[in-house]
Amino acid sequence: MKRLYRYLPPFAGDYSGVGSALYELGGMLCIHDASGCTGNYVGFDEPRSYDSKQLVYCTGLRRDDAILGNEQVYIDKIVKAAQDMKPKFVAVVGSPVPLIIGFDFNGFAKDLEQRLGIPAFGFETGGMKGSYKDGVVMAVKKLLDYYVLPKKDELVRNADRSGKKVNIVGATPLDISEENLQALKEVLKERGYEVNSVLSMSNDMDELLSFYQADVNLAVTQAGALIAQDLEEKYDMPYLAGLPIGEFGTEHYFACLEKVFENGKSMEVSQKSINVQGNKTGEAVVLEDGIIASSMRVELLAQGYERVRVVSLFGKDSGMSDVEAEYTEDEDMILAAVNAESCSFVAGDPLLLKYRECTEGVEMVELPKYAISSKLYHYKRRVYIANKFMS
Amino acid sequence: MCLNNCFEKTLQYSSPGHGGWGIIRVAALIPESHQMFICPSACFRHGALGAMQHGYKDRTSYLYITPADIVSGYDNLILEGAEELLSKDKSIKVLFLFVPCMDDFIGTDIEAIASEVQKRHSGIVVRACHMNPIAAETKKPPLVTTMHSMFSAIETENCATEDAVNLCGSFALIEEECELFDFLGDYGISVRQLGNYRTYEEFCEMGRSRYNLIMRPAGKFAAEYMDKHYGTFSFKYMITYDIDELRTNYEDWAKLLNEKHSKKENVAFELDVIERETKKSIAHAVEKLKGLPISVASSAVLRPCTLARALIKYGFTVKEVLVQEVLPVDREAFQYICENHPEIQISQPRHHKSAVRNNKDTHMVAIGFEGAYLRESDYVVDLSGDEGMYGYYGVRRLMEMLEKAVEEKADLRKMIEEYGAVV
Repeated sequence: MKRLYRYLPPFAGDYSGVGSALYELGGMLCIHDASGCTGNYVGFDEPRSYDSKQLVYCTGLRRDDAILGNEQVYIDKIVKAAQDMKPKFVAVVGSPVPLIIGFDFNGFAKDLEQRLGIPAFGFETGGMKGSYKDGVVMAVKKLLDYYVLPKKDELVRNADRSGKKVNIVGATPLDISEENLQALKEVLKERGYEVNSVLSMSNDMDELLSFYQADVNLAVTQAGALIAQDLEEKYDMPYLAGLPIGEFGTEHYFACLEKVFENGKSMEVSQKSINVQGNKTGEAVVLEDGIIASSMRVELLAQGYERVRVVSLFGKDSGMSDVEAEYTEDEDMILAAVNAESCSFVAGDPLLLKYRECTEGVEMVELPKYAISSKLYHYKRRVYIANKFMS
Repeated sequence: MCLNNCFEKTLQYSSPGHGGWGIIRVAALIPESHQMFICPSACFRHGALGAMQHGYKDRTSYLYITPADIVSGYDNLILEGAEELLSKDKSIKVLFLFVPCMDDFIGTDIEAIASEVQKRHSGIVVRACHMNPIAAETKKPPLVTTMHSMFSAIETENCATEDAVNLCGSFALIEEECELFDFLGDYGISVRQLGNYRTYEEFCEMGRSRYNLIMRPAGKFAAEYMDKHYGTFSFKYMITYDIDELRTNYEDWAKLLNEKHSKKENVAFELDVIERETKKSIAHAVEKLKGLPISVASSAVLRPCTLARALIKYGFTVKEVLVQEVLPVDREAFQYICENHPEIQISQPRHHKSAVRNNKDTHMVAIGFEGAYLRESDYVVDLSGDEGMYGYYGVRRLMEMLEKAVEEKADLRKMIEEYGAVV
């Protein structure tokens, strides 16, 4: 049975993705649930919770109120808190119960906006389908559509892309650790690129909203590719899907980036032919976000591996057109990929790799991912951007 | 923000110091049991990761339901999932089928499904459970229904025939160093605790005990179930750190036991001696803390106001009590503090204003992680949910913990991570 998970925990849900993308923007996040979903997010999906002053709350949804449609009690609580805490905006984030009773998130948000005089957004999430990735996309798109899209005609863009300005798109701690984000910024700077904005991590609202000043978007995750695709449609901004990973992969990446700057056309790192430069042999398996795994594939193929299987646990999206990419949410298939007999290299979250039965002669690279193992292996996190992969 | 008798229902802030065992860990105390959660994929992430932290993940599994299942119902899916699980894991003796909040609106007859699974698998006890915090303010909150499911799993003959007391409501083990063992031992009564059992069969002996001891309100539901179904008798002497209350409790309890049991000749339990020793350890701790302000949080003890009142009586300086809601068993002490110690701040740790910490003076010792986090206190007593505490032993342990806490500044983040709380 595909839906029975006996070994792996549930992965981060869509509501955690919304929270993660909005976390540092000065808003007030209200998770409309009884307590457990908020516990998932703040306790296990948000590494920035400790020492933070961000406003994340549980509405404390109760059964009678849900049955009777008594929304006033929650409107009153949110209004009171917003008046006291003075956030820049309010985000009402859904959980399974509001979703199945047909709670009107947008109408509720509109009501709050009228009462408070600040923007309010409703997010129809429920932890039921998709993953945190969908929440990240939903959150960033909604904010940009609200704040920037209506003023699109007034935006001044650098038409010839001569400024070498880029946005990092789709970064949240659920996918990318703070250390890796810093490493990415550094390598971009070394190569003469200026990071204009990060959507959406280690930033603030002003920085987020200035995204249009960049020339090219760097989609660093599957969420990033979906956002970048939307920005391409709405703002005519080209993107590059991928990350600079490993010595060969980094050179490959910057060759791709140069091409995007030259042509103004979007591309993926897997679309450029790879020069095999190393002498590794055999097969490799990478279990990660599809874009991150595709970028590792580039490096591993360049190192000489004859075949690199990209296994994405979070669905198939644009930005990952590798011929061999596999997409699965089936636990048996995930564990089968971890245990692929023919492979001599396997990379993925330690929680996945611990189920590898035969480890002899296999190089195992642990890539702790907050959306999978949360804080359990956070201490093992490592920088894999640029030359540091496998070092 | 709720000061002294001014409690508000607000948006709830959940600090890193908030949380406890969680129901999954409690239910996992039943040996050889397995919990299958029938839920949307993101529902029980905290429970699964908590299970990994505490080493019982191999006794939980997840059957994910989709929006399409909600439309069509998922009764058959549960039957199929249980079938597959039980065919793959032959070690399961008790299977708990958990449905989440959402199911309260769907109305799956999970009890009937549990019966059907049990019918198909003789020798396995199958029970329905509701992990529905959305029902927290009803008469059947999740802890109550889970307790019923846990204790209804007992299958034994000769119910309520053995001279033993089941400890109800405290999930962490109470060490045998606690005088409770001597007190009961003098009457030939043994102590039975959930955490001591390694097999399902052993656990069933709780149904053969004559007595239950309700130590915290959560234990009431377990005790009531056993009284009704197995014919046990329940005593209610809640955990307290007040030595006067302890004396009264033991004296009352002794009277009741004397009616039906005779004492050994050489008794091990000597109330005066124990009380004297406890007073000494209290005096020692008071001396060591030298008036250092104390914050008491409800994450540490069930009755924070009662503890605060006791600490004041002993000569400590109590600065603050953090309590989200005053329980009936703590109300008298709350009134006492309001009337006699208006200088003590009483505040709600989950109030929306708690999200922003702005502490100028952190030179204090906090009892409990939640207060320690919110007040950024220099010193921390790492007590949660009265775990392992009872009687004079609990008071002496608390004094030792206070003394140890003030020896060096706490690494609270590490403490919280090691504890591994779940909301």
